Order: sequence, then C-alpha cells, then structure tokens
Amino acid sequence: MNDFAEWLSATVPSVFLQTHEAWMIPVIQSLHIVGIGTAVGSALMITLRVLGWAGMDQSLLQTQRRFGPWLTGALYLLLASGTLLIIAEPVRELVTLSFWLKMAFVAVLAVLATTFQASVRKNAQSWEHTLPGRPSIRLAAMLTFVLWASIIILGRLIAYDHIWGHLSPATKA
Amino acid sequence: MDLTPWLQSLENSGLAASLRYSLYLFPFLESIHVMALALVFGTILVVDLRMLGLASTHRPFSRISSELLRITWSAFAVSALTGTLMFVTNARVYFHNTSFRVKMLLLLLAGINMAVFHLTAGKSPVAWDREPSAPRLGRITAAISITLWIAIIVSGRVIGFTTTGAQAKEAPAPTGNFEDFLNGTPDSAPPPAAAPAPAPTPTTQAAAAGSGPSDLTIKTIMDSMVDPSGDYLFESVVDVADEHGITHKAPSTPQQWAIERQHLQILIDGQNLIIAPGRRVGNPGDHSKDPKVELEPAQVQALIDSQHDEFVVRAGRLRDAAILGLKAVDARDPKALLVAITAIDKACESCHLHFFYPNDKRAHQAAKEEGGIIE
Repeated sequence: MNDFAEWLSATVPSVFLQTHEAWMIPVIQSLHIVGIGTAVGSALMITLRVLGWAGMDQSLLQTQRRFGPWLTGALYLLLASGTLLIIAEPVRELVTLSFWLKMAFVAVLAVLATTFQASVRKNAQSWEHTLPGRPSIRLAAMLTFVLWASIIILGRLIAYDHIWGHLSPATKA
Repeated sequence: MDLTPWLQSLENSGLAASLRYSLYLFPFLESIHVMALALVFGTILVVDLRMLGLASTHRPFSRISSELLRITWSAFAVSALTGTLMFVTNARVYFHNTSFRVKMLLLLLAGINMAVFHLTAGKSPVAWDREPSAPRLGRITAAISITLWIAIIVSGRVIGFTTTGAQAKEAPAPTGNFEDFLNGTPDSAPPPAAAPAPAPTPTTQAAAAGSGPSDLTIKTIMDSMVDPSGDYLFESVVDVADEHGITHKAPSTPQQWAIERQHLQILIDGQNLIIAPGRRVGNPGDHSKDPKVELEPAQVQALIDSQHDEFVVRAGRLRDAAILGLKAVDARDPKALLVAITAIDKACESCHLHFFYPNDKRAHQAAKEEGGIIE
C-alpha cells in the first residue's frame, strides 16, 4: 500500500492537487463534511422512523422515499470528494489504520443500508406496523447509527493516526 | 481592550494543559465536534428544505421542526462544548486567526437569521403549516441559513490549515540580544560569557507584544534558527576529500569569522528561547515528520514537562559548546572551532536522543559508536 500511495502521489492529478493544496484541500474537505451532514441527517430521519421516535405521520416507505435519494446523493458526493482527497494526499490517507477501519465500516454500512432499502420496498405492507416493534430491527437501527458515528470519528482520526500506536501502519517501515 | 492576559490564563489553565499534553484528547474532541456539527447541519437542512418547499412538502412544518429542534440544539451544545475545549488549548492563536473570527461572525449571523425567522414567518407557523413552502421571508431565511451553515463548515475547516504553519508568520521576530547582535558589528559583540540573557517568560513576553512571541514554539525555533545555523556551522569546518585531495575547510577571512560568530550566537539565543518556562513544543495539529522514529510533539511535550531540569541541563550543553565556539572564533583558532562544533553536534544529539527520538535504536547505537553522551 505504501508503494501504491507513493506511486499515486507522483501521478498528474495528484501533483495538480498538491500544488493547489493551499485552498483545494480545505474546500474538498468542507464539501466532504457537507456531504456527511446531509447523509447522517437523512440516515437519522430513517433511523428515528424505524425506531418510532419521529416521523410517525409518515409510512416507512414514504420516509424511505423522502430521505433515501438524499442519502444516496450525499454518498455520491462523499465518494467523489473522498476520492479526490485520497488522490491529493495518498500517503496521509492510505497509510493509516483509521482510513482502513473507516472503509471497512463503510462497507458494512453499505450492505446493511442496501438490504434495508430492498426489504422496505418488498415488505412495505407487512412491515409498516410490525417493524418498529421488533427488537432485532430496533437494535439493527441503533447499531447502524453507531456505525455512522464511528465512520465520522474515524474519518477525523485519519489526521491523528498516531493514537493507534504500533497498530498504525504509519509507525512501521 | 487587550484580551491577551485573559486568553493566556485560559491557555495556562490545568484543563488546557491536560488537553494539550494528551495524545488522545484533542483528536477525540475534534472527532466529536465534527460528528455533532454534521448532525446540526443535517437536521437544519431538513427543516430549511421543508421551508423552501423542496422536500417533505406534504408534512406540516411544525411537526418536522418540533421533532428535530431538540436534536439540533443538543448537537449544537455538544459542538459548542467541544469547540470551546479546543479553543482553550491554544486560545491566543485561535483568537488571532482570521478563519476563526470569520466562523464566529458567521455563527452570530446564523443566530440573528434564526431570530429574524422567529420574529416573522416563524411567529405564526399555523398560517402556513400545511402549505408546501413558507412565506417569502421564511424562504429567504431558510436559504440564508443553508448558505451560512455551509460557510461555517468551510471556515471551520480552514482554521485547521491556518493555525499550524502560521505561527512563524504571525509571531513577531524574537527580540533581545539576538537582534542587538545582528545589528551590531561582530567585533563589538558582548563577550561570550555575558551572552546568555535571562530567559524570557511567557507572561513578560505576552505583556511586551500583543499577540505574544511565546506563540513561538520549540519546533519553530528549531526550524528557523537552530537548524539553519547548526547546518551552516557543521558545513563551515570540515575536511573535504575530492579530486584535489584532502582540503581542510575552515573560516579564513574576517568576514567568514564574523559569520561564524553570528551563527554561534544564534544557537545561544535559540537555546535561551527554547528553555523558557512555558515554551511549547508545537501547536495542536503539528505532527512528527517521521512517526517511525520521532515522537509526536505532544509526547515530546510530556517528556520535557516531566523532566524540565534534565531538559535545561541538556540544552545547556548546546550553550556551553557554542560559547566555546565563540572563544575559538575570537582566537581565530580553526582547530578549537572544530572541537567546539563537534561538541555542538554531540549536545544536539544527546538532547534529541533523550527527548525527540528516544525509541530510535539506530541513533542510540550510532551515538555510542561516536562517543556521544547518551546516558
């Protein structure tokens, strides 16, 4: 990964971003945070509806239709801005434990979210009333939100990978 | 009104010190800050889009806002708390940072914008609760709100990029015998023994100049004074082996001796600045260039704080060696100068091995082989 990061940092797009880093990186990072806010806000609304804590005047399907596209749109923004950040600073991003933990959590979250979306569409009728009562689903909803929080925290910790001590690849040769 | 003493006392508080010295607390605070502000932005966006008639248009406005208001305010409280804690770690630097000031101004404007909404369209939401969008003024405040919060995110992020490398630029140049020396002619400089001036304390420095030269960190002093002068000295007296055979390089002209003297004096003054009580290793956000071998600034800080006497002793070896160098310069003695510069090299290494890269086994081994001071 070190070699790949070194190689990437010598490519034309990376060099371009590096030479304009004074304003480009803060701007891309800000876009990334705007994307996180939009995504986590949408995810929160869906979670609260599943838990029955908010939006109960709406059906699950209506809630999904209202916030699903915003969540997906925000994820595309996150993917694009995140990719640019990796290209701009490959070593800072890729040679950290925080980044790879974050990616692993993102992968788990993606699987959970897609499964959930598909199930809501398929079982719209039967789930509408039974779902919020199921302890397993409530637990899954809360876990999903914890996953979101962890992803955000890990994202910021990329800048502070030393907190992992010897587990951080940055401390190895 | 000069807030410097107050900001300084914030920084000197036990709370600020423990946040600064911990390897984990500042990153933790910043992570929670980002998470909380994401929730603030995300929930405000839902409400503002409803007012603009862009989303959730079929739901009553009051229902959405009452559901989200508590979450928004709780998240805002967490952001404000974590933000305040980050601020006190380096109050003077943040206070003088333009992006920080812009962010605070934008937060104030967001508050005013919210007040305007509550005094106008928000006063009677029943009238338009089931309309697809808020009245005109409500829509305007919603659009302003989204814009302001994005700007708050951007200015907040820029703070992190303008408070780390900016110290050298913002802090006034060190004053005292360093400058006096550079302004005077080398030959009229004070005798070496009298050179070390009393170490300036952060409080007297802060009183002397508004933003306070104690913003100067050990890292900055090393990078801008000690390292360049050390490099000059190490290069100036060497044996060069090339196609012309072995040449002993040493100062010969009066001009060269004078420059030699200036750099030795810079080392002495740099040492005085470094050992000043309260001097910080780096700013939050400063990182070790090579975490494989060098400790992080916070770790170096913890080491120095726990063994400050030891630190002063080791740094003092640099001063003693440089004073020896000044004597060699005054005697125009290249051999004595080489001895002094070798001692300077060992003094640097001895202190670095102890405080900067204590885990670097290779450097310890090399120092042992070269007869350095390692204990």
